[in-house]
Amino acid sequence: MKKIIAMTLALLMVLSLAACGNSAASMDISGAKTIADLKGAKIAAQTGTFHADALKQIPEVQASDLPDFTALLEALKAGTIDGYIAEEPTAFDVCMSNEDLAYLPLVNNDTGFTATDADTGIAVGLKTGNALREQINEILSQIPAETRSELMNQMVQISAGKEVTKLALESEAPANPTGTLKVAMECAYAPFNWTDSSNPSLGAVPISGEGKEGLYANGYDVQIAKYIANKLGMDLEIYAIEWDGLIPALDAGTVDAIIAGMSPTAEREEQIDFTDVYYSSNLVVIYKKK
Amino acid sequence: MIQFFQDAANILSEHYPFLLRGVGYTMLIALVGTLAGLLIGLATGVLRTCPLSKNVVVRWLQKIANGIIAVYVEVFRGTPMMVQAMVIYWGYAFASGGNTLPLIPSGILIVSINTGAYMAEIVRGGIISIDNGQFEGAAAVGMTHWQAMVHVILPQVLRNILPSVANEFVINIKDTSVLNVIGVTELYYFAGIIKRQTFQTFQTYLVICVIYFILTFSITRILRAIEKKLQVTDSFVICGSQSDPNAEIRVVKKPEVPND
Repeated sequence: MKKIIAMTLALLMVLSLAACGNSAASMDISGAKTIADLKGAKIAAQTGTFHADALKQIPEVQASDLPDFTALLEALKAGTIDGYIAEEPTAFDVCMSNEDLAYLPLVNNDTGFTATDADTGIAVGLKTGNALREQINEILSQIPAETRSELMNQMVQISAGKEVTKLALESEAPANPTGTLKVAMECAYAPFNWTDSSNPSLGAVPISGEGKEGLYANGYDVQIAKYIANKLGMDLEIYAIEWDGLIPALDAGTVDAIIAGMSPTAEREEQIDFTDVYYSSNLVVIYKKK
Repeated sequence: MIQFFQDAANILSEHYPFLLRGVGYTMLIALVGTLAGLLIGLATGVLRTCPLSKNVVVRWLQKIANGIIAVYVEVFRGTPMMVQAMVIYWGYAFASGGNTLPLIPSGILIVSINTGAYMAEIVRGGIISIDNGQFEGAAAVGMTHWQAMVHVILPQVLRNILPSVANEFVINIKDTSVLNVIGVTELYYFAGIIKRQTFQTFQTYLVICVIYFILTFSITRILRAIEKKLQVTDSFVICGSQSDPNAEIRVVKKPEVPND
């Protein structure tokens, strides 16, 4: 009798577990032209980013969020999601390293998708009232649009392991630095900022902090940070901090600036100041080719 | 399948200096954290099991100390270590105007105080599990509470709680991985760096998983060997004389008939 009860209970447990599993029927979204075509798809985005809000514009979307881009990539490869939101340079970078992936741009106002410039652009984050803001805006205004897109292009190449001989944005390190500019970024968001461990790539900067010897940061954000520091006549120190730790680090005064591909959204503006936008791009949906 | 293991082997051969450094910091933080936690546990355990003094002032001090220890144990045992890490690390940064604690020592500090809260309960349990007759026996030969603790109770407690301490050590080896939220470069932190460089999430974590298992498994084997060594299988007899205070007192392993 006991045996039968045990068997029935075990069977019930297995059945209830099976019922919990989502149906894995994935959608083919490769032909989508507007966000209406993505209706009902399983789309994910990084937690705590504007992307996670943006994806709610897709009708009847099955939205989810994951803590970082590698988790999103893994979920897509495993077939857990149909696609995930990223910025175009990131998508380009990922698709170069993974042949079976492609992306659809959610071009602003063209595909039924709306976002403000503050949402799709990225800016330097500073502590509220920091006097450096005007100076940094002045420095950023000196970088022409072509240089910005050329630099981003080069960073995508470097991140994919291709050779680049000379960077589009270069500046002289100050002979007599007047101080140190401490900059925080994730170092985990190629091509904006990533970590080199074995061989530092062209233009990479050592990551500061205990136990970080032999680790280098590179990417678009690093080059912008280097340019700003040089033009301010300051030394540059890069700190690798988790996405959720960036604003606390700035608030506490541990770092002077966040240069981490961060968009100056209204919610963040309430906590910290932002400079002018130093890069802007489209949001895209990365998907797996069938 | 072969490709998969090749990828895993490549991760090992290309990134081993960083993996080794990660293992080093993981073991350093886990080892020092567990030992410091054990010391905290011993101190709090002895304090909490101390009988209340007859002196009114000392009795109140004891009560206050017991209250503080109870709050410490409940708070640090009842909140996740990852949250404690964030609160302590960034809390210090806010309080000190932007200075941060050095990463490895703050990792050790966080693991120590977290483990200390668990150890406090483990040691307390160890002390109250010792038969009351031992305290009475120690008191009968004129030992103070402190002497009884140091010479009679604690040696037995340490031997009895060794399996629980080993358990905490193994848990700490694994739990140091949560310190990556404040950027401590332990093993899991390097897994993050490697997976982002190689885009091979699953392979990277499999390699890390095997490394963690080797670490914990070898530690459990070593501690099991120590436990065996400390095990007492023989019974002892104290030989002396009830009438002659100058008679030689001997401790012998097997019962034997004293020939006097």
